[in-house]
Amino acid sequence: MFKREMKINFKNFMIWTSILIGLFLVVFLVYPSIVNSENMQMMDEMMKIFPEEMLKAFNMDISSIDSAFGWLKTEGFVFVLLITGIYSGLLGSNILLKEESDKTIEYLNSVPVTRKKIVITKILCGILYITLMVVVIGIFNFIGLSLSGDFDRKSYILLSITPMLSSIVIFGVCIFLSTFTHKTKKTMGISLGIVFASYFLNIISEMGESTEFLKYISIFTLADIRNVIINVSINPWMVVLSVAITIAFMMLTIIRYDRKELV
Amino acid sequence: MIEIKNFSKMYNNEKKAVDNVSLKVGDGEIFAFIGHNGAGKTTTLKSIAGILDFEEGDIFINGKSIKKEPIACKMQMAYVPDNPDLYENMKAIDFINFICDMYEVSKEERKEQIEKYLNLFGLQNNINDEISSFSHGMKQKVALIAAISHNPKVLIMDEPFVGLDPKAVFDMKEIMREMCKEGKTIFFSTHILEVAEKLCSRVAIIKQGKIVKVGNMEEVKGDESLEKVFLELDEENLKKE
Repeated sequence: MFKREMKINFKNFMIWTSILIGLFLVVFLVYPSIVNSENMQMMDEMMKIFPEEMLKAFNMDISSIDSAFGWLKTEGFVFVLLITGIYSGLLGSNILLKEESDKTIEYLNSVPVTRKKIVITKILCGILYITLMVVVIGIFNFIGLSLSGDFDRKSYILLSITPMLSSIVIFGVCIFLSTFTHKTKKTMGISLGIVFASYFLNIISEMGESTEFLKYISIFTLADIRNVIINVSINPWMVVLSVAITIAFMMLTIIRYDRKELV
Repeated sequence: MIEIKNFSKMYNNEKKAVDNVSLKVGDGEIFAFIGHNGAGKTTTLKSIAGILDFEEGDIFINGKSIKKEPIACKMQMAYVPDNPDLYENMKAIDFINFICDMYEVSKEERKEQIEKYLNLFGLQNNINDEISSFSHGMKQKVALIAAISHNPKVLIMDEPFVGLDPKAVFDMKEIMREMCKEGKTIFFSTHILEVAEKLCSRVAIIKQGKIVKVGNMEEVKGDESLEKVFLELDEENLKKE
């Protein structure tokens, strides 16, 4: 069953991973010529015009975009966070519900397999694909950075792992929400809404003391890229919190799905 | 053997879709469920197959309760839905193998069974094609092959002949007779009264969730045709309403 699940979801994994790889490939190909040109100085000057809050939101106050690694630390990981987040949200809202939308759930329920096993298999498949995405992107960028010049390997590895923390929580929340409906269309919109709302709340929370409280309601607070850049370490509490929230939503999903009227 | 005891099923706590149905289908029996659309046939079949939960009564498969031991019951059973909504992106052979994996059918056993039924239904050249490229009839055949490849003791089918070509209908009837001789239980719903009349040992007519007539062919229809009996029962019910 796990093998079949992996096979069914492989295509989407490839599409989303290719989007990120394509983006970074362009960056790695183009960046050396930008860095070595006069444009770089102009860009640095331009950065000074932006308000401090804006620079803070994209970590540009603590990192410069004068190297490929610098760009990754600022804008690059924003794309990784957002795209892994969107992928995780869509995967979470689809992986269980698709069986109902496509009416294949009738088949699955008639064969000797418990609903618990169905949910656990799908959760494991989802988490494996999210992990694979983070790892594949991580390896690709590692190779790209190695070819582009010198960079802090420890810092890079920690930064690459960080998106995992927000992605598994988004996956957990979305798979749980999918147990409340029978159509994928409804949950897909909600999932995208959660990802973007969460991301913008996180950005706004960085802009000043008066908006700082917003970080407590943003999933992206768990993937604290800024802390990794400054301290070259992942806050262990964020890891504990991410795992705990994900497990809680997984458990709730199993309980809810067991009671759901499926046909 | 299938034993249904005082079975009732409600959707969203509203009107009962099936109301206090009790039935027994023995080993080696082909039993047909006849009724209008919305009479409660599919609800009953899905509940027997363990797809739907139900509030009242119980259903036993060879003495085991579908409520208390669903996996043990499902291991002995196969279900063919009215619409073959299969995994469109899978190859037919992968789908059949997936179902066989679920029933823990050994590689040797499944190879022999799958080959036999693929040849019978004329699907041997399409087995490596994606299901999405199949017609309704071909999908129905794949669903049937997947269902019978693991040699189930009880076969539940919802309108199994819809969409099949005449040759496939004939072959399917032969398979059902063969299974019946081996002492297996077959319970299916149909709109085709002629098939029920010729193929089944017993039939039940269901109307608005209640069994209105059940028995062997002689008991149900006497000297008349099943079609006439069915229509007469329908008229009687309409007058009562």
